[in-house]
Amino acid sequence: MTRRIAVTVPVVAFLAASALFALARSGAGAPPSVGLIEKEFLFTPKDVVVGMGGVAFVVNNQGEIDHNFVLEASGGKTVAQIDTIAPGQTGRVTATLPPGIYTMYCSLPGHREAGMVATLRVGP
Amino acid sequence: MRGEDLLDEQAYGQARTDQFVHAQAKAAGVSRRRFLEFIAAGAGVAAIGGLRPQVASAQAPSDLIVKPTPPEFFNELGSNREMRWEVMYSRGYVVPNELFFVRNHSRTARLDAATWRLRVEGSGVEEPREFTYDEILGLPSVSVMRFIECAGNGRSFFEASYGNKAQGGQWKLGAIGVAEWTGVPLREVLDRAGLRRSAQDVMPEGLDELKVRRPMPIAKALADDTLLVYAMNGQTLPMDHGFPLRVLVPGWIGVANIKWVGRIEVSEQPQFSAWNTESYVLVGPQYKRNPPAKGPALSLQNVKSAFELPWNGEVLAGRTLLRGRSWSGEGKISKVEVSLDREITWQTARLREPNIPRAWVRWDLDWDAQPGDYSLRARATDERGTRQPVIVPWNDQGYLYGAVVKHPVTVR
Repeated sequence: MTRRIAVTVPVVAFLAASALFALARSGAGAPPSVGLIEKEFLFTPKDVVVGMGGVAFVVNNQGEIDHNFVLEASGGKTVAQIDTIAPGQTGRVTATLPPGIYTMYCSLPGHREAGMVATLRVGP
Repeated sequence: MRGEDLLDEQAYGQARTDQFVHAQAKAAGVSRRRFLEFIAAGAGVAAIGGLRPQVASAQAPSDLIVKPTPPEFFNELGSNREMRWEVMYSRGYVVPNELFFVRNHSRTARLDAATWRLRVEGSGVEEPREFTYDEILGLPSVSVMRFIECAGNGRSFFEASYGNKAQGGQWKLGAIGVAEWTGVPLREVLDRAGLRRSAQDVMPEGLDELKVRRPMPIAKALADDTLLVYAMNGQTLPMDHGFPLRVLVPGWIGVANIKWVGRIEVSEQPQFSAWNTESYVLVGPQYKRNPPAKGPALSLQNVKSAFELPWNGEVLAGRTLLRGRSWSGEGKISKVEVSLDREITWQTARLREPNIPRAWVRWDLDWDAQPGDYSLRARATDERGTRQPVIVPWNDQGYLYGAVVKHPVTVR
């Protein structure tokens, strides 16, 4: 399956079924941007890789009900979040991330268990 | 600890917290204090509850709600539909099924009664078993009039009081309905699965995409009017309201009344889910964390009142009959007062039968309405003497707004 992911800076990422997701880095000093799609009850893509430093998350709710976005470090600490993203809306948040493995999910009750969770790997 | 004392929500919450902390600390081989420090450091219930099998979401229908919800009957709030109170002015005691509010956590589950099963299992029963739809219909059943009300009913008024929106759907007062519910007392089903005397909690679970689930103490599960409902106002339970079977937990917050129930876990241990630890708990400056919950878990609804009038609508000048309804999760309503002049004076409304506990009472008041803008107020007192307050403490998720509401209306 190939899928186009919308991001703030113009970029097209091609995502194979379980492949790693790419990133974009603008030339103007803006942080790289990661585009994520939320819907009932999925997070796309499921696996994202970025370099360390600032990352802008652009989260688009393509579902029919409210969702939110939480980025959690491996120790369980929340490092970024977007409270509510209404259907059809896009939320944005920026975080500065040291290398490590992070979890991205929707924290509304049951949404994570139903599949709204993805992994972020921040490389050195 | 299966005592009747746990019917009190605070006693229930505290007892379960104490048990939880004790058991977790013991299992981890640490002191109770050390465990509480660990919880305070941010470990959530997800780490404690373990993971459940994922819900199969293939071929999920795109329509969130099955029944028609025209704008003259309902306010649309995302995936939810709020009843417009003015439609009740010309109606009877119950809310007809087509007007009943809809609160879904995902989309209405479409289930086939022929293949549906109810599984009763867990450490609290000796003989775990399944029931077919026909087996449920063949058990002794009763009918009761009760309300079901979303815990967030009235949430939008937090913004009017505090200037900030609470999280969640911005309901006015239409996230409630009273119906005649027909079904099997939950205890009939639990008994047939060999309920143990040591059972503590009962957790019904829905077959919706999120498997919504929320526990109650055994004392509440065994109450006469805690039912497994298959009919609503004389009709087969509609899909949006939980077909083929839903739970009725009278007086308790809406989410406890699990729709599309497919499994009931009966446990000798305290039970927790995201719906009594992460949400449907009171989080705010006046509430303490209640491990593993973020705050005190809700159970009983509070006292509220609503006018059967359009919100910010118009009334023709002249003699008119103001009508409304009041309700309480604790019992019958004993008194309703109405103020037409911004709380300078209060008049006692006439209560109209029936006045059924944990349903509502209809009331009315003569009004010689003169042209102008009004802010109507109604405040009810229930049989325990609890009267609606002027303001309620803030909570982040906007639950239990039981204060007196200022209903704007213009007389022309």
